[in-house]
Amino acid sequence: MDDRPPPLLVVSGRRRPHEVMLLAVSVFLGLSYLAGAPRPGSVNAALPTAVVYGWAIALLATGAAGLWACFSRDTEEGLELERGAMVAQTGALILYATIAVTSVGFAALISATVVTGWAIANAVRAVQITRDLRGLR
Amino acid sequence: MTNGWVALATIVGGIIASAGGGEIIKAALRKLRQRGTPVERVRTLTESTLEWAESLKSEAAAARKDARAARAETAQVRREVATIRVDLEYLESLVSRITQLIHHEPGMTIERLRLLVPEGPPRRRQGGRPS
Repeated sequence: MDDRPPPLLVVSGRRRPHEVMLLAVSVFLGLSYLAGAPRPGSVNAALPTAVVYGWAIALLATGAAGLWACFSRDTEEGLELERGAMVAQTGALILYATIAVTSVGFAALISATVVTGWAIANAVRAVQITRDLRGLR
Repeated sequence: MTNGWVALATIVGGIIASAGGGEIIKAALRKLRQRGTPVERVRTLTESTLEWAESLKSEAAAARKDARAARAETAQVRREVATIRVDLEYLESLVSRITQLIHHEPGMTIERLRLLVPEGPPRRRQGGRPS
């Protein structure tokens, strides 16, 4: 008979300050661009207006969904929502980073690097959540 | 689109964003389904309140029945105690009578005593009274 104790599952917390802050930044940027704040010149030049609006809406929606998920009381549901926000936001960030690098080049080193790092962190977090959800089920 | 990289990023980013957005919508819909509409919530609450009231009513009826049974039992015990008290009083008077007889007649024998006091200890009828 197997006397080993059942494996202990530790679900990592969902209120990490860096993540919450970046999600809040995403909401702020999305709202600002939708409200008429000047959009990045490279984005404006590279994308049609409709896509730029879609990009701003994606920033706003994913930030809001991610924040909602971080403060949700239901662990499983919150993790699912957070994963969706992370994945969707990764798409929006990849788009911006590519435009920054291809349009501006080295002049956009900081913004492109920060945004790429943000996108990679989102993708890694989505994988972590998938693993946690598998453990929960 | 200024170049192919931007077009590719738009497509890839769009696909990734759509996948994530789909998951967000799925999670939101599941949450909405779990919660139900306000009318459904009120109906569920009302139904469960009514069920609770029904169960309270049946519990109260059972408690009333128990109380009635307990009252009946108490009355029965009281009746028995009263019967025993009557028996004791009768025995006391019998002992007192026998003592008086022995006292007045120093040569009293058990045979004579049986003749003088024919009634023995009380025998109970259905109601518990001495015969």
